[in-house]
Amino acid sequence: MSPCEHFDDLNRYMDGELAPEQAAAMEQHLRACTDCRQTLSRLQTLGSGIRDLPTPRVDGRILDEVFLQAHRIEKPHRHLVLRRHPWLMAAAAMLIVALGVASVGVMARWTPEVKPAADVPSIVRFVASPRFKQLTEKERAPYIDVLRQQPNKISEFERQGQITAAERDRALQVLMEDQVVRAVEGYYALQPGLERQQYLDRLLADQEKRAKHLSMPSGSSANELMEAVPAHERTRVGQFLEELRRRQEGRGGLKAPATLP
Amino acid sequence: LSSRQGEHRGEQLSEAAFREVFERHGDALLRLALALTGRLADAEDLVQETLLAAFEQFDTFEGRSSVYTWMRRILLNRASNVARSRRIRLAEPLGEDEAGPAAGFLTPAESAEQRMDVRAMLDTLSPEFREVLVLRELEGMSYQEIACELSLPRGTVESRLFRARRELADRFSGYLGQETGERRAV
Repeated sequence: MSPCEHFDDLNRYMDGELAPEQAAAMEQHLRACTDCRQTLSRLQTLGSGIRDLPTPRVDGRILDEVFLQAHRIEKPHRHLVLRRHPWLMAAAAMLIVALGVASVGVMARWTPEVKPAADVPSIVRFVASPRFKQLTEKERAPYIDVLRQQPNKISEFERQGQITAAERDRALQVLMEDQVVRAVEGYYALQPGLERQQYLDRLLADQEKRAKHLSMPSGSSANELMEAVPAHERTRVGQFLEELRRRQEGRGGLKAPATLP
Repeated sequence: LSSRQGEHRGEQLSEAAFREVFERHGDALLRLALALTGRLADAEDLVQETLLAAFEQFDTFEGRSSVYTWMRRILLNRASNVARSRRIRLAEPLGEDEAGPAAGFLTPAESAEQRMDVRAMLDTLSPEFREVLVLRELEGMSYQEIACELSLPRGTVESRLFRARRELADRFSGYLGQETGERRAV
């Protein structure tokens, strides 16, 4: 394109930024100037090319990820922690089992008031549904409270055919995730030192007593657990699990890998 | 959401309501982000960051503009932060065998064989030029609106816009001439 002294005004004309009399003068010039007509044509082609750029539809999973992050669940951080500390994964997995069988006892101290519910199977189904994941922590609490009061009923409902096995598993998982967070809260509510050690010992003893034939859950369960831990709690949960691991080692249980990263 | 905009002004938005915002404006945000970044993965990251910020800060939305305008401002801020911090060329550079200054201009015969690749053209612009051009052409914003949006003097907006267009018109005269049926020797 050859330089044209009218280039700037040509842009303004095309963009509707000239005053009416200036625009009229430009139109008059265009009638006489081939270069400017060609330049204008190119600029218009460029503009329509940009407006017609093909764009894929936005992926709805982006929004799911946004909601996850908004709930302070940071996957990369979580996975980094677990990959770098395989023993932490093992400790988390062990804790899930320990808490899964310890529905009373140690946990009972931090169980809040019972919230009456007319139809518990419906609540279980809701807790197991994808919609439940979309609730805020605060919105989830009353439903989890109901399940916490009667964890054994969940399996019973499944046996009675009131809920599916998948709903039972998901609801139990939600319950266990919640219990882990509560266990951590309970741990930090105690004074550092002896009180906390005793607390961990009770947890571990409970596990040993109730789960002699313990089968470790898969890594994905531990992953799901950590997904449920809010980011602002993650450091505390990590420390808690590490302390738990130490106590476990002291009791001749779980061993840390020979070389830690 | 515009009809219900007032209901949400200055409030924390529920996920269901925000999903509505997303369904209404998500595609337009991605379109803008893609034009600014040139890569789908970068564009999706940018949209995701924008949505997260909008969702978390919805209570700061005062309703002085439309929800889309408000979210677009967030997106532009984030896009310029990324560009500033990384100084990235917001897309893969053109190869030597592709249209671009290094390859010289396409002759009309060559250009007849190829579609005009506008995205590749935009990729040759600096982020600052590209931003102004995209806001004008894609978003249809006036010079003054762009100036306000980017906190720039109007003269700077004009200068960047005109230079962006001149660069592209010069570099891709083969394409642009072909598209309009005006084949100029280059």
